[in-house]
Amino acid sequence: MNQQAISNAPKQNIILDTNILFYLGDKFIKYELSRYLLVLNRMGFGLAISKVSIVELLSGIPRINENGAIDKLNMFINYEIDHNVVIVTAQISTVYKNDKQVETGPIDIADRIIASTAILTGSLVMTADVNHFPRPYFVEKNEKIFSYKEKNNTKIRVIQLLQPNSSLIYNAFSCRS
Amino acid sequence: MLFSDIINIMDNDDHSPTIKPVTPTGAIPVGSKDVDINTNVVPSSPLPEPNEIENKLNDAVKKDTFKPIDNNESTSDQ
Repeated sequence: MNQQAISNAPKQNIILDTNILFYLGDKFIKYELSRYLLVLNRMGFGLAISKVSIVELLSGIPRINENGAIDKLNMFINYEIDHNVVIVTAQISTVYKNDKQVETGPIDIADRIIASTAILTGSLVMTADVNHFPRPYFVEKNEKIFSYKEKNNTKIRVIQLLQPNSSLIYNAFSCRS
Repeated sequence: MLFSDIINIMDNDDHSPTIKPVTPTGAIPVGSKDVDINTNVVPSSPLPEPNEIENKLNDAVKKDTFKPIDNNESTSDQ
C-alpha cells in the first residue's frame, strides 16, 4: 500500500451487500447505481465487500464473466472472514434468534457475515433488502430510489444505507443468555 | 457523456446523499474481550485509487461483468 493511498484513506467504508453487486448487472439501474457509488466514494466513503460476497457472486455468474469479475472485485476494499468476524457472526446469530421482534424469517449466513464485518469495522451497509439487516440492530441512514419503465409499468428499486446500532449491539452481546 | 460529467451533475443534484463519513469509534465484545471498532478487521487488499475504482466500475457496468447467470433478458441489454 503506498503512502498516498494511506493518506487518502476514507474515514468510513460502505460494505456492499451481494445484491448490490448483482444490480450492477441490471440494465435498468446499473448506470444510476454506479454513479451513486462513485458519488459516495468522492464524498469520502470507501467502497468495500466481504469475501463472502465473492463466493456468492462467482456462484451466480456465467463462466465467461468469471475472470473479469475476479479482476473487477479488486476495485473494492476486500474484508477477510477472520477469527473476530466468525465469532461476531455467531454472536449476532444468537441475538437475532433470541429477539422475538426480529420477524424477518431466516437471515442467511452470508448476510450475517456482512453484518458482523460492518459491526467490527464501523462500516455502513448498502443493501437492496433491509430484511437482511433487521431493525433495531441496523438503522437507515440514507435511501435511494431508482424508478424505471418496463413494459409500460413503472417499477422501483430501493437501495438503503444502513448503520449498525453499535451501542444496542454492545448491550445485546453483553447481556445475551 | 463522460462518467465525470454525470458525477458533476449528481453533485449539483438536490437528491445527492447528505450523509457524511465519520471515523467509527467504540468497542464490541468479541468472545471474552472488547475489541476496538475499525482496527480489528484488516482489509486483505490495498486501498484502491479513486481513478481505479471509476475505471473498473465503468468497465464492469458496460460489460455486465456482475450479471447473474439466471438474470433473464428482461434485465440485460446484451
